[in-house]
Amino acid sequence: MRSFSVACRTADQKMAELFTGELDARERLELEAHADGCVRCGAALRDLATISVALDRAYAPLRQRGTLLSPARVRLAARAQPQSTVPWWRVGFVGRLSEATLALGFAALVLGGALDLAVKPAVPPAAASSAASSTSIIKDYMRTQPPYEETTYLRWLRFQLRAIGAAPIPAARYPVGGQFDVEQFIGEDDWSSPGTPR
Amino acid sequence: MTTTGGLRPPRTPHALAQQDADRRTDRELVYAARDGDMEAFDALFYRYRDGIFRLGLAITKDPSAAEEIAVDTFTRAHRALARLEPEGSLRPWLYRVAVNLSYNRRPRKNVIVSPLEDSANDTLQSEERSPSMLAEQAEVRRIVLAAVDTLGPKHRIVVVLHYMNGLNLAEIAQVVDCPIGTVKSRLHYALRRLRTHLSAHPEFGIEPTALLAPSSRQTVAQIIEPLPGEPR
Repeated sequence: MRSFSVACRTADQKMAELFTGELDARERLELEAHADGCVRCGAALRDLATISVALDRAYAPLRQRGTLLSPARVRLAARAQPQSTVPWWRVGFVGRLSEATLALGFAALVLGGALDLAVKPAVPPAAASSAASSTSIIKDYMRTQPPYEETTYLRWLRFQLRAIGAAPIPAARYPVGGQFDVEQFIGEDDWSSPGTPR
Repeated sequence: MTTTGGLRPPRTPHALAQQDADRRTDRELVYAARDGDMEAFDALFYRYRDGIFRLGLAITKDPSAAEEIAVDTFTRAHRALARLEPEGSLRPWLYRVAVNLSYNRRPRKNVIVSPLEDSANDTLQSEERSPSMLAEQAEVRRIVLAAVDTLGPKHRIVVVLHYMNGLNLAEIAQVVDCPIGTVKSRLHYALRRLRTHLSAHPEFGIEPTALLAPSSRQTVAQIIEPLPGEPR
């Protein structure tokens, strides 16, 4: 494939200037002389001239178009205040203050949540039990029920008897042999409340 | 009622002032407008209104958008009067603002964009031409403008500024804010791309670029003449 010669490259660079009318007479003559002797540059020059004329004709109707705009529109637009891109809740000192407050609150929320996960604050047992008891009436109900396991049941029973002011159960009357006899407690005291054993 | 001036309109004081303002350079008009002379600003507006409208129309293909671009351009010029220091013409500054506004403008929804043709205007202007000739010219124009639309924005704006707005290379360089050499190469590249595109249409008579690439056979055929009796 033939490579561009220096003259072809120079002619190629000057073609745009030729169509914008910025070549002087001598450069134009040089370009045309080169195009006469070079098939490729001659064809390029001919085609680009065709395209240049076609572009000129294509834009000719547009060059005739105009507008009836009045300068009053510009004056009105210039007098109008430019549209603020700042939303209303960020306008002024109050807006800035509320924005800062919201940001601090959000930061405190995030940091507080992170600290809560890391370090649990010490809660008093009574407050914890009251807080826990207030959470669910089902839990309250289940808490008044005696436990199933025997030893735990006896502890619960002693606690209930102490709570109602009854006499403590003698140790000798604890269940013997791994079985707890409920019948021995029935009829001795009336301790049916609070919490009735099942 | 008799008219003493023939077909010439009566010269009102406002018209005289406008004509006087038109004689002033852009720099003088800018300084006058900065001092509060609104007629000077109006003169600038009338001087460049149509060019900016056409530029916006060529880029957006939407006449109402082009009008808004013209208004926005002059609104910015009005706000920038205090810092405007035009060396010569204000046109490059205004065109640069208009180009930026046109390209930054989002196309409106549900708007059918016209293909930049004004066939009714052509029909009125050239009554001596036959309808088939007008249709052919409109088709050629449509093909050319469609080919221009295939160019990238940097190359298309150079073509539009030169062939529609009539700016020279130096003015285009000021508008697009790049060296003249870059404008020259962009225009050349755009013309070559258009040549490739339009070579597919036989009505332009452009040879396909591939055929112009000199192959070894063509080069040899040009250099070596056939011997006597050898088939060509």
